[in-house]
Amino acid sequence: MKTKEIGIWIGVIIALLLTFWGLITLVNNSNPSDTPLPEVKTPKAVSKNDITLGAQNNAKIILTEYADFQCPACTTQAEFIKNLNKDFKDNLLIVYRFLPLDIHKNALPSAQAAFAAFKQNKFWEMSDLLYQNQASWSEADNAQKIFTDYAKALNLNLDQFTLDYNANSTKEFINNERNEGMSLGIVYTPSLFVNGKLIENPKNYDDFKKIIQNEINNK
Amino acid sequence: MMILKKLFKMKLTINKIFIILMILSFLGFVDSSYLTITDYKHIIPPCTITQGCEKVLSSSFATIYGIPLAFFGVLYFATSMLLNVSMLHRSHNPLLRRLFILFNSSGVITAIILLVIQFLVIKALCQYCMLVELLLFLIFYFSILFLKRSKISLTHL
Repeated sequence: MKTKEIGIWIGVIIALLLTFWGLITLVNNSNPSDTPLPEVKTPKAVSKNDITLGAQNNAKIILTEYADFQCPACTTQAEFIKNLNKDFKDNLLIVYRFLPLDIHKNALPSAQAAFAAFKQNKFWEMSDLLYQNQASWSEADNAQKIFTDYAKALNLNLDQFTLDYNANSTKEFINNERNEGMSLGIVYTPSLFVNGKLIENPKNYDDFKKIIQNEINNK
Repeated sequence: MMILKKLFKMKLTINKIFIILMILSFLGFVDSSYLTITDYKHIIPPCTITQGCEKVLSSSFATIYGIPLAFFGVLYFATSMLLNVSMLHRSHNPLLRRLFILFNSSGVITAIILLVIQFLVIKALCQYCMLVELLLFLIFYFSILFLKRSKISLTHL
């Protein structure tokens, strides 16, 4: 093997290792604020019809989430939001709004299941089950049956659940929230608003906690 | 696309083809590395209204026995670069020639399989994956050109 050839081999290997290391550094240090956020309008104020969790009165922070149960990124943020609810119990009001995306086969049926559970005050429990088992129902042809099993596991009244699941009023509620979200200019899920302001989706729980803590400190 | 058209029309020397192959393999390496790193860091892109990148990247086809498919891409493109260097210096070695064409053919076959999965099974397209597939097709094309320019008939492989 000639010296020149060995030199090229070593050069290529070093270049590959440096590139890989550079990419790891880039991903680790990438600042969310580097990416411009889409221009969106402020979501409508919280009303008694909203699905909420946490501090109902005198909440300093209102976190509004537009999400789709079939979206993997929503699963990650849902876990963070659950922890936020524990850590900021007295100051944080979480508002969930439906934005089922057309690209997802069972986004709408899963939203119907969550709304039917909401009617029996078990929205957040159903939400947990939907996110935890996302892979098993995402592409399923018998999604309603799977969701009914979840309802059974949550001890819901199954007749009422089926009625609410199929009710036109359920689909109407979900579509209204979806249309409202789209009219704000939302282009992806989850879209998270802290006190009406869209934030970049946090990469980890600590980042999310800092955002909320800073907002509380500024109040 | 204009660059591609120009490239296809140009009368390229073997050194230029080598450089093109190295650049294409390097781009594939960067793309696959990025996907591998984000996968291990559990960074999932948000779900956009029109695209299905997250759908592809979080599908059961995105991993093989728990290892992200993109990691195999990292190994493939790194090997591709090293194979290109070997070919530049030993293009008359019959074993290496066979390996070179087999390796690049396997890449293009993989690209076709991945495209079929995206279009027909997952029914969603991911721009990062599409870039890898385009690169595999281009690498295959230029590897054939490389063999032709080095005056090696494909029938003698």
